[in-house]
Amino acid sequence: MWMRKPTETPDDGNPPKASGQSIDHRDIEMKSRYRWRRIRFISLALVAVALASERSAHAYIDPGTGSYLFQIAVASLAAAAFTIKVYWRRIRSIFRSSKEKRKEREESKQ
Amino acid sequence: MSVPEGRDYGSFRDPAGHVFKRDGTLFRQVNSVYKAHYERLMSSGLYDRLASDGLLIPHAETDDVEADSDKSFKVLRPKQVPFISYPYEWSFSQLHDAALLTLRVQETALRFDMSLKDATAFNVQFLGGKPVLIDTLSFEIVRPGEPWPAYRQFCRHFLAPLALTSMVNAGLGRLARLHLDGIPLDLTARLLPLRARLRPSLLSHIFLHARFETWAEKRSSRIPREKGGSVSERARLGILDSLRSSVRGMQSTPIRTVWSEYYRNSRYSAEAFHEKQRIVREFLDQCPADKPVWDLGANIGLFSRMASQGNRLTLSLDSDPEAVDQNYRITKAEGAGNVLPLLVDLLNPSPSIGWNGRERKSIFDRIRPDATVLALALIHHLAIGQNLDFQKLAKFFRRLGGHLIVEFVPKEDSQVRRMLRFRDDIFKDYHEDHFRREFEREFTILKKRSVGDTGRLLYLMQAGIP
Repeated sequence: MWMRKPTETPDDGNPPKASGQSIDHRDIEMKSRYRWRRIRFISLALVAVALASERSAHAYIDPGTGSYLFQIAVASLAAAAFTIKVYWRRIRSIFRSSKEKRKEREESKQ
Repeated sequence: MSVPEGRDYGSFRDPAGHVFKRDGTLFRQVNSVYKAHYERLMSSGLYDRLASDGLLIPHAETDDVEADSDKSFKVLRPKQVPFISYPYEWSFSQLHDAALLTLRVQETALRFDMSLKDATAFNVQFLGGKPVLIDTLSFEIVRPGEPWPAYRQFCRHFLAPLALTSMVNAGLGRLARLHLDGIPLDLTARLLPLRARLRPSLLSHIFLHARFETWAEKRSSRIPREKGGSVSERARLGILDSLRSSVRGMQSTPIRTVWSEYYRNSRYSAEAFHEKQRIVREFLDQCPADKPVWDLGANIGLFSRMASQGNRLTLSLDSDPEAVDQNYRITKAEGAGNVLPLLVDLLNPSPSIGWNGRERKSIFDRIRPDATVLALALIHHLAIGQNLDFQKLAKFFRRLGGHLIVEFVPKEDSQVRRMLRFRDDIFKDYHEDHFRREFEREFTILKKRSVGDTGRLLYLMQAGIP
């Protein structure tokens, strides 16, 4: 998916030149491969830097590497969603009767 | 055996402490390594809040009991739970309530800068009809920025079985018996229907989470051992809130199973049914009030609730998930706290399993064998439905109880006729005389009553022969 094979016609849309055609192809292919590798290396390095902070896991149960990474990955999204929800509730509560508010409080206690 | 006498076989994972029994009382030892966390739990006000809200089991510190090992810092005497049940014996609504309890405890703990370090469903028990966290040592001082270490456990122990029972089949909760540390998420993702992916909370906590697990497992050697990353306080609350929405969004299956419709389709006339209730009540009054009751094949627990009156712990067993769920919901609504509905198949009861085959006890080893056994409209299902002869049944009931209230359903009964409609009648010995003869080898018959004009008979028996 990432490494799209170079098409028969070069990017400029001109017909392939008789001479040096294979060199151009290889060149494009190599460039694209290196670019992809670089992106992958940088992103892996970023993840590694993010993970290799000063702390280590102290849990007596195995929290699961995947579960740990997943929480880190969704952290910002979860925080944003939660913030929106809290503010939305506040806005909504302005327009709500005290009876409804009481009901909601009771529900959240369950 | 390296496990000291009296120490609970299931209590070995957490270095913070363990539970042990002495003279029939359960104690919890707190080890020195957990001192700082325990002191924070007690001094921060978290314990008081959780105990007063009925979320955590209350305890008293005791100096009267010698510690179970030299690692001890303190010994606690928690409020005693009369019967320990396991998550694979709960219906959907029971697990649902246990999940909400766990999330509420975690939410409360975070407000006191503490966090649950584990979230196994085995840490929840039903006391007085309500779920309560029993592991006092489950809390730790929160480490800022660190992801919730119990997140995976919560998803496997609660979210996975809840999603499977509500969206696939009510009986799938039994998978938890196979997977004692929770149902694996990749398995759950494979079993869930396509529409489960449409729910954002399930999509993330089950499907994407499972993908991450698989991804990380394949690359485990390349991921640095030192883990940390950063999960802000708000993100932690966000994940918790999302988990709660996910749990709340799940409903028990609306499909009516055979047994939950049983009373509605019962062939009992109203008068005969009232007569049966009257006789059972009379018999129950003659059974010891301080002994628990096993209601076997309890259906939606009508007779269990009757038996539980007068503060009698009643274990209300049935093999039908929907019936058990209804039983729990009715019991909860009526506040019949002494009834504990349990999903147990008598033909395949919860065995002794886990580490060394002893971590989780067999259901029959969790209670003293002197209970009162209620076996109403059950005999014919076991004798004719499962080819179990009266001798085996009498011995089985004798193993459980000191008193037995049993209903004999004759062959002429419409239910029995229905069971035999497509089978050869190989049950020549299925008649009252033989029933009496075999049961009198184990029990003394105290009383016998016939239930109206149904032809059914109710017996009150006591263990032992004169």
